[in-house]
Amino acid sequence: MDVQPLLLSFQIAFIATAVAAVLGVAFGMLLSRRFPGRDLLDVLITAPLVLPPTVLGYYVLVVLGRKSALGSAFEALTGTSIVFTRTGAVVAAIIGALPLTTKSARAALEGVDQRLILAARTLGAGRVRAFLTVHLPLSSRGILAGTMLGFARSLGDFGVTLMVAGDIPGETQTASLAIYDAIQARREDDALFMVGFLTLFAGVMLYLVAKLTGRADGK
Amino acid sequence: MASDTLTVEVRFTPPGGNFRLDVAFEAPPGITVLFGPSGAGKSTILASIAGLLRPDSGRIALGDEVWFDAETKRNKPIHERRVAYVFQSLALFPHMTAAENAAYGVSREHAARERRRRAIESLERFHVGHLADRRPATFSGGEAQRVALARAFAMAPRAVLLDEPFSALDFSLRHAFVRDLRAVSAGLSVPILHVTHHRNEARVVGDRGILLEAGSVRAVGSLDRVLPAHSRRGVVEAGPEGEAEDLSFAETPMHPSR
Repeated sequence: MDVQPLLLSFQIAFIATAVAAVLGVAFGMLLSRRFPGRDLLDVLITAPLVLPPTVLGYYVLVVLGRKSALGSAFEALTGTSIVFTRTGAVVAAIIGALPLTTKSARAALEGVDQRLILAARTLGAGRVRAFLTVHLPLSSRGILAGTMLGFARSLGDFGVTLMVAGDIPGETQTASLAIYDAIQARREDDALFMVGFLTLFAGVMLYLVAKLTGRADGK
Repeated sequence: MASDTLTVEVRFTPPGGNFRLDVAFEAPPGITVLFGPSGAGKSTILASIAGLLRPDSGRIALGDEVWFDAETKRNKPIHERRVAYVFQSLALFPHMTAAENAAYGVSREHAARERRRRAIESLERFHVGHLADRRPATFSGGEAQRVALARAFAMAPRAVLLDEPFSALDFSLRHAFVRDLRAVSAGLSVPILHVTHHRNEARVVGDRGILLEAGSVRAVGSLDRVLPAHSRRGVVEAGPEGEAEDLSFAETPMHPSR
């Protein structure tokens, strides 16, 4: 049994979720304020939920490809390209997770009573301290739930990963891609193993998220 | 510094509001009662002093330290004013114990141990030392009120703003609170603004009063002078003793500045 694709999936998902969680809180904070272009940013972040993965992948190739400004700058700095490497797979996973982490973070941050934050400010806390000691801890449950959903989502990305990172065994072949390959090659046992594992894992995550958010509501 | 007078001159038209606030008054060290019906602008004044809201024009200063001046565009940030603000909703941090709440405002120049010592000391002054390691969810209304006051006074504030601090209490409980509040504030020579629309509370809590009505100051002076004048004008109908005194006006919503 080849566990390499599963290990790779987890490795990519861990990095991608960490990035998406931090970005999600930052975008969540930003979107809870009024500013010109807020709706546009909201649409951009939400788009991955509804756009076909191939369309998303195409955009990523345009923006981060080897001939793009960002892509060639990255290559000049690190010596490797973003696309068709593990970095590309991480980018694909981030894009999948970001709508989930951002929406959960925004709802959680907006759900905190403004007066508590103002109280912290009158008690001598600057913006940063008030955020870190009052705003963030009081929204941590929702942020954690969004992070777990994001992790489950980034673990299973297929379309964007295939477009942006390809299907290179040992390098970018994640479990989702490996399942497809295994089915194509009639290696049913390999496919079944990974399908079973990912299903179980997603089920556990959803159960934990439900417990996490349910308790906050029930109180 | 400890005996500085708070000078307030605020003009503000709330967005979509139905009144224009235009007030000027001074609050010397000690308790000054801001009395008036709901919608008179009491909460807006407190929010301006704390820096939560930016007035359209005017000037706010403590002694010769200017906190807000529309002309010079000076607007000292909220957290640098060191104004203890007890919100009507109390706004205790639900994820912290009473001691952590009370220690939050204590200057961070002190070590953690010293911050906790001061927090506990303040809790004890308001007779809630036994709650130190419990969280707000377990407090009764009266306990929460006392912890909120302890938190406000623990920070060694330069001014104290109390927005209907006893609104959630039974009338019978208020007397004990007023006594404790007076005792603590006597030892702290800073301006204390106490907002209320309960006449009995106003009478016992402070010595000086400011009568507000529809965004303007109608009377300033000793409470004996300010309050009877108020009822004679029939602004608030004084009904049978006790009953009308406790008449609650609709709560004024806060408009935090962004």
